[in-house]
Amino acid sequence: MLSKICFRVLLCALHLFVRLFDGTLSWIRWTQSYFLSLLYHHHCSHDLIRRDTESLKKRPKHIAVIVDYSEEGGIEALVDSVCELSAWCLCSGIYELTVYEKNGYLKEHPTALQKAIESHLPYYFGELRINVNVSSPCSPEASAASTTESHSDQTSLNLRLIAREDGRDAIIDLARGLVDLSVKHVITSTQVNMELIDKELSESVIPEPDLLIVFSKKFRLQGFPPWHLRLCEIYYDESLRGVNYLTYFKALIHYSDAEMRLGH
Amino acid sequence: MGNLMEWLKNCPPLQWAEDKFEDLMVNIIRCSSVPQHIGFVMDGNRRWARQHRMETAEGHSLGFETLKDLLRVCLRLGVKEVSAFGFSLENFKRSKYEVDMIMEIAKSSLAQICSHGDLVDQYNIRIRVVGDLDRLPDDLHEQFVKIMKRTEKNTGATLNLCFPYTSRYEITQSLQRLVKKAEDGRLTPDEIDEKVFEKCLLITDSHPLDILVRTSGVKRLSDFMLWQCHENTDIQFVRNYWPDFKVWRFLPMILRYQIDQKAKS
Repeated sequence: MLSKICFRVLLCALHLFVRLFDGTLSWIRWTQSYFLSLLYHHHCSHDLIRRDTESLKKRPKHIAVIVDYSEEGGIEALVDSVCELSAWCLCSGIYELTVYEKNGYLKEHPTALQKAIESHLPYYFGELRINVNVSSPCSPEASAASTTESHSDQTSLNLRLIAREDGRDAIIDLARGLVDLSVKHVITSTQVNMELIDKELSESVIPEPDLLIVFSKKFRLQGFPPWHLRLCEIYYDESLRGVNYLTYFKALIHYSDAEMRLGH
Repeated sequence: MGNLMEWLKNCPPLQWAEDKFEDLMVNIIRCSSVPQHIGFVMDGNRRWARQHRMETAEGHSLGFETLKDLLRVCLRLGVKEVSAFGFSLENFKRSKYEVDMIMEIAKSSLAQICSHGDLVDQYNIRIRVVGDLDRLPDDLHEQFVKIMKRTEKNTGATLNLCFPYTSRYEITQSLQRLVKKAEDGRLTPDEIDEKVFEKCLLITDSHPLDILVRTSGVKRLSDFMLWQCHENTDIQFVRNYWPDFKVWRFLPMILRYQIDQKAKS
């Protein structure tokens, strides 16, 4: 019918208009961000980053990030990004970092990653020796990391690597474990409560992060562990994709200004 | 001056023009695919009321009106499921006065949309009240159960009213149910997979969440539909408070969804 054709044409026109509008806006934002990123470049300087973050009202204790694997950059680009992120976290006084890469490529090489980070940190810290504990859920280093947490000193970074299987699958595994225990009459359904599940998932996956920075191209959570997303601030900057210091810094500013009402 | 603007905004010719514009936009947007499941976190009623020097109750009432408008537009566009975060289990920490007030507003609001000829009848909506219903006052609990029973056979669309709800409560409930089934000998560990788990969730038999909108500028999920939105959901954090989140701010999100879908295929 004629009206249907008219509507379709108008819809295409609307889509075009929205795409032009979004495109222009994103170009303007990209230009702003480009200049800001020149202004706020870290210059591999521990002092500059420390000064940037000193004035923040509050800082997260545990940051999680979502990074994308790309064919052009490959594993090297991922490793580079994680090295930079580790350095920025340490310079800002944040000692817990979780990196989520959905395919699990980073999880496959924890020792190589640890070596890469330890050889990258001297750019920022010079002679100062900093410990980096790289672990992933259910790895032997993970249990070591959780014991060192209770007396975490200020010169070591706990880096946890997680992937898709630590999201929904971890909860399903927990379900199987609980059902198994119930079949063996070790627990009853009344004992299955939020505290128990929280304790299990915090130990077997990661503790709850305070801030999640999404560095991927599109703003999607890509299967990040759902239980741990409850109250964490989520930051995504559409103008600058990929891991960059300006987005990291803006995320910290956003966290510092956020009001935590917890129901009130 | 502020009052003059409000009066102008509500004058009949402008209302008529707004309605006609909405009709036109709905007809245009329906020509392409629309999201099947949309979630709303209705945040910012109290701050909006404070900003406009009104009582908190006014803010919550106008918040309900906004939900009703958005619900109507979603249904007209052909959205099959809408989930709205009405009250969190954490919100019981608020003063008794405010909690009672919100319960009253929920009671009258739901009664309104279920009244003869209103939204539920018009669009054949199935209403599900999702959450820990035992913590509600008895009269409200009774009313919710009655409404759910009355609408459970409707097939037009579904409204999930999360009241009082948190996602962790939902996941905990699902795990508890699985363990209870195992206690009764109806389940073994090998039989558990994602589908079995999802059948035990409170929001079950549901489309994947396509868009999640959170108003008031807060960039958190605040324990809402974590299991449903952590994969491919388009999460939109909007700066406006909920009563200011009007239909014309919402429609561009649908257009962007359609553009995304076209780019994918």
